[in-house]
Amino acid sequence: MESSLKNMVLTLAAITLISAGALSVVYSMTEEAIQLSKAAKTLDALGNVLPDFDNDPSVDTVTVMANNLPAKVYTAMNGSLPAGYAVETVTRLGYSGEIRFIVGFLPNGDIYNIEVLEHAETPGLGSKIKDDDNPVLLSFKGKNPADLVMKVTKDGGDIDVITASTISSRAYTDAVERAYIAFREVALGEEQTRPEAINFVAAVLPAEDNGEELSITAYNGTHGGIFVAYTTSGDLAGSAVESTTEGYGGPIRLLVGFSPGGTVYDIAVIEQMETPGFGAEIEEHDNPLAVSFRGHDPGKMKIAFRSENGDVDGISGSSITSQAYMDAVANAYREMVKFKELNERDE
Amino acid sequence: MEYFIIIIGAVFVNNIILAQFLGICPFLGVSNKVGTSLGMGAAVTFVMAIASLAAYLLQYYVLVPLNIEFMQTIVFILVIASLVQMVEIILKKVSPPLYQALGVFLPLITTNCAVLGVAILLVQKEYNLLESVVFSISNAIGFTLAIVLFAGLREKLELEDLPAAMRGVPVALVVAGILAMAFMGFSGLV
Amino acid sequence: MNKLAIFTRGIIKDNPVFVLLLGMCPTLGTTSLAVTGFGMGAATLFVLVLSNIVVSSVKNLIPAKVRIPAYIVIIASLVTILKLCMEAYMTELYEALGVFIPLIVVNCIILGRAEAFASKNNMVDSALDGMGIGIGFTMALTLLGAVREILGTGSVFGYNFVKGIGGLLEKWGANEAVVNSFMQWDGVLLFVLAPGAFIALGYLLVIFNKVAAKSK
Repeated sequence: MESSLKNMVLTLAAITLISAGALSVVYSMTEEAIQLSKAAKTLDALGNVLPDFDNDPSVDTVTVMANNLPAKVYTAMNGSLPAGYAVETVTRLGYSGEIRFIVGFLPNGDIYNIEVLEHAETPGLGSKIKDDDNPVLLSFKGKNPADLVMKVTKDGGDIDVITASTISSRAYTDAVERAYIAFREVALGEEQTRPEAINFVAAVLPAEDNGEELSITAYNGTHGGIFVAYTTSGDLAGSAVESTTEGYGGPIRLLVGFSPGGTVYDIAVIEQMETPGFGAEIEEHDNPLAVSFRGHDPGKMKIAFRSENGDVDGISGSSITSQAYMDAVANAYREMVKFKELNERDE
Repeated sequence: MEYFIIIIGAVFVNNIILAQFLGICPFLGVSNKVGTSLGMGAAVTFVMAIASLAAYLLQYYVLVPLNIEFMQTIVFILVIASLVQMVEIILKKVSPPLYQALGVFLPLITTNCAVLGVAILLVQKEYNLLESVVFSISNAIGFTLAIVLFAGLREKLELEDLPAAMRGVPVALVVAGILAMAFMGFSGLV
Repeated sequence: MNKLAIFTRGIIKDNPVFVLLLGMCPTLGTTSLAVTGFGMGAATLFVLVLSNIVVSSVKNLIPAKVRIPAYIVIIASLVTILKLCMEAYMTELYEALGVFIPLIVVNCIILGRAEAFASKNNMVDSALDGMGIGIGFTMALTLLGAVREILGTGSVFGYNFVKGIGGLLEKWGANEAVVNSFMQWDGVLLFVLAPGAFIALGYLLVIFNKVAAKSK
């Protein structure tokens, strides 16, 4: 065909369109199978690290932070009784890159089995962490971490090391320790030492900027603490409401400070597990979400994204995180209004 | 600290050529002389930095919002190919000396899998914008380092008396293997 | 040229790896095991045959000046289709090959065949050409993978060859020391690691060159 400009543009456009069409057809055909094969992989790993169970543990999972990294806890049931808990977690202490593990616990905390999901350790050395009979795994299997000194023998602990792979063995131990912390929190309900919302109250109210001391009274709300703060002269400095919603990587825990008039003074992120560089931008003081709320009365705003004709700017590329943040602020506002009404009635 | 780990990791530990096997064609093809391999390294650094930036922006501001991440491969390769063309045209106009130095290498870069590979890897590793740029430049430096070192070795090899079957690419590969072994000494640094 | 010659040319005489030295990145990067090498070869074969067929069937519709970008779009689409299908139905292999699946796009063999053969020949010949070159590539990768696997771990396709020989020798009543030396051989780790890829391919090329020189 002749290379005229019209021909060239038309041909390229046609080819691109046909390709895009073909690809979206293939994509929609394979999408379900891709999801299924991912789910099957998880279920397979769960079957290997847990005794028999009859539910689908991947439906209901809890993600918690343990030693600064996320750990995802699966609960396996057999009939009405818990059969065990599997914790999917990661360590950064490996010889080359992150290692992902899934650790299976019996309800009493004994380790049933452990599987390495992903690693890049040296083949033939560190890669032995994947073997079924490696000494590190054997030191854990059937034992309760509560009875073990969770260090490798070289560091004075109870965990045997793989010959010539001390670093990989230490990383393994680190991951199991993290999994155990998450197991204790979810299965046994033991609280980790987590950041206390009350420590953030001063930061979200005007007092700190004005250099005033606050006296804070804490109440229990439906989404966490409600904190009412008075200045030393007895004036109401404002209230702060804790609120937690499910974000992209796990729970997002916010503390929203309201001036006495009901406008948002400031918002602090107590805990979050969002993707660094994306959702984690909510940690920034001047992120678009915080800026949209600060100084405004949520009751007078349309709580929806600007793209849906609302008054809130989301973080681009992180719509799930933004939605969760927005919901958390809205919940906190409702909580604050409800609390105020109750107290006014009492007076 | 995180940036430091990315830099050391990309330049030494997971060297793009010697550990990840990306960009082998220019590594074997344009490594006869130290001078030319430096030019190739500079051209790759230039293109890789721009291409990674473009890939990052496309991925997170076009592909993800439109929910068409499966178009990644096709979009990235087209962008890299057109970028290389554009860089060539702009260089020709703006800086003829630089064009003279890098120009001959630019067409070779379109099908250099290192550039596309790094673009795909930075998405896979979920780096943010700054990390992506640091990662791509470090990989380019790693590429340059490996190819220049290798060219130095090959210049010496030229003078050796080798069996006929060994000459050229076979011996180059064996030497590259020894170089890769030397680079393995860096593993565990990060 | 007859059909048989088109088909067989790519397998030995113009073998893409051993003779033309093309597609070196996947050749080195995916051959730590025979099975991954074979998988990579088969994936490339798939894209190569289809891209040759598509290019030869649309060759008259594409203006000459934009043919390269057009070929790139066609190849990239085929690679994406392959990638999606592998992710869905061959997850394990897909994960083992990693970034080298999308990188089939920049494999010079494919664009090279589209430009040098498929754009000038009919569909049947192009398909045969793609198949021949693809099989040559697959054979080369499987061979390199097998050599590295057996030297590195003693196994081929997961079957421990060296221990197998040890077992046979034991059955035949060989000297115990000889049997043990087979049974306890763990392989030379180097060949599974990155340097082993370069070295094994280097020496395979030497052997190939020697044989080629002799047969002339």
